[in-house]
Amino acid sequence: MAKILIADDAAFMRMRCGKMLQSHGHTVIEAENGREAVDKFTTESVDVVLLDITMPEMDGLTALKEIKKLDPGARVAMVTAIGQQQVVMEALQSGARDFVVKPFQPERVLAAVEKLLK
Amino acid sequence: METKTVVDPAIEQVLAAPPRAIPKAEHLEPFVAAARDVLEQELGTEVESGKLALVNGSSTTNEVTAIIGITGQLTGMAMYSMSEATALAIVGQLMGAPCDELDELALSGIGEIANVITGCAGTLLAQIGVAVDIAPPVLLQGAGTRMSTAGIQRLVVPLATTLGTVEAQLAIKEKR
Repeated sequence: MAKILIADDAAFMRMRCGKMLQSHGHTVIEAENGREAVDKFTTESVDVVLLDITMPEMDGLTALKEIKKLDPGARVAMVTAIGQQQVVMEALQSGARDFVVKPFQPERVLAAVEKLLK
Repeated sequence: METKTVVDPAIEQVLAAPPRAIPKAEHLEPFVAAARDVLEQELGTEVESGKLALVNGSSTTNEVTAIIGITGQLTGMAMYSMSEATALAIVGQLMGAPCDELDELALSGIGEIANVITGCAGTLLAQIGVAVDIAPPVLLQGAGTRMSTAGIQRLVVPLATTLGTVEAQLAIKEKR
């Protein structure tokens, strides 16, 4: 299936999301913050990136912009508790292809991944 | 020649009695609504809000407390406090398997719930034109730590779930 990078400062969220994606046949790589997400995007051949927004060191919106600079075609979705319209707009304008607001049903994240892989 | 600064009596009065920040109801309601909605959705259980109270001064923590800093048009923090048994039950529910130990992963789960509740509250606040940002969670473990929100009144809301009670405390004020 696909190699998916999950960037979230909450180990619990990385585990929960990762287990769900692995159960659907995907390979999962984890990052604890935006900086690590950008580094791992550079070194691993990831197919999809799922980015939280509120993270230490580098937030998800900044990481999104860095990743898109590295690869304008990068397939990124935001997965976050921050659902304000201006944040959604900034993410989409910066190149995120989907925006999943927490709390989410697993099906919503799977649908986002499938949409990105098309 | 020594000069003495003369302070206007009106200013002296203000200095003598610094204003206590009193949160507005319209700013508090999104947090209560978000806490109830998120806990109901994540835990699959009904949540009942207990009696709301506005309190001053310090309080002591329960066994597990997650703190989320808030900045923007409102500044302050949201705190979610519970017993260890409730924390373990919540994490177990989220994981779909019993959680016996409040290890780093479990604490992270409590932090994440706090993050989601406060983030959702931020979204509701944005809908009424109040923009806030939230910080990554801070977790405190251990009952009896004295905490003070220096001059900001706290809204205290007990949220009763079938897994135990989560006490939400909100200390926010408008940024001047």
